Amino acid sequence: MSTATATTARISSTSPVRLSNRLGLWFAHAYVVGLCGTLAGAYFFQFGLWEYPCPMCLLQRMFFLLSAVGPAWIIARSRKGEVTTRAWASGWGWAIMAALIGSVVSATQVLMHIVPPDPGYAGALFGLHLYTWALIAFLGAAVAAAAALFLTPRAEPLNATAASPLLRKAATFTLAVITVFAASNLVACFLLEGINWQLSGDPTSYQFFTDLGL
Amino acid sequence: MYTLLFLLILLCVMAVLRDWPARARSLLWAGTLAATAIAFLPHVITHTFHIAL
Repeated sequence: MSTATATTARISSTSPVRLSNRLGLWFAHAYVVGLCGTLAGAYFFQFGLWEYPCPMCLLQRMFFLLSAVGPAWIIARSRKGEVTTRAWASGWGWAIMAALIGSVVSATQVLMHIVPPDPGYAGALFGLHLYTWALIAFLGAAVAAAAALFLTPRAEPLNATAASPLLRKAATFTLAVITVFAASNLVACFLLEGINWQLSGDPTSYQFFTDLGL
Repeated sequence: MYTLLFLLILLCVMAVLRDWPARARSLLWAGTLAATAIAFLPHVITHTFHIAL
């Protein structure tokens, strides 16, 4: 172990948990729940307004989930003891990487529909299509994750969960939320794609039920 | 194909919940991210954006 790493480990294990450390972990919870919230909005359009997501929409959902996996790992680690600086940085670094790639996907879909008279794909929310909101959300997520990294000296959670029953309950809730959204997206995608390798660029039905003759 | 990618993502979440060893978890995460990015590429390559650059 290098001197710098040893120093960091020694400081972490002896430092008392302050409010800023607890807020850092709450921020990870907010990040995961917030990204799952955007997926809930997509579900409203899919199941509430009966609009079918295109392949690009599904790809953006994947990157939302992948970006949330990093902070979810930080939360999971916090239930087992102290979150090291290495784990904190690794989780947020992953979140930034997935969010930036997701933003490229969203920006590509914006460019696909930007030339008039293209009306854009599917419905709009407050005048912006969902892929435009997704681009804003991805960029916001990347900035938020980068801020968490920048604030590491104050915000790394240390042993915050061990000292807080509320954070322990929140960890169970947040990890359940991301699991539910990952599993439900898998089921929804399977129903949309059916037993096929390709998904239509502009789906008009749930292929699984169509293939069954329903 | 997209169903398989969502299955991989669910596995990534399970790796978090089950606290997989760092090496296996990192490989799974990186592989899933790479596969998802590769699935995106055909949309860019085959599309004409009608923009004169």
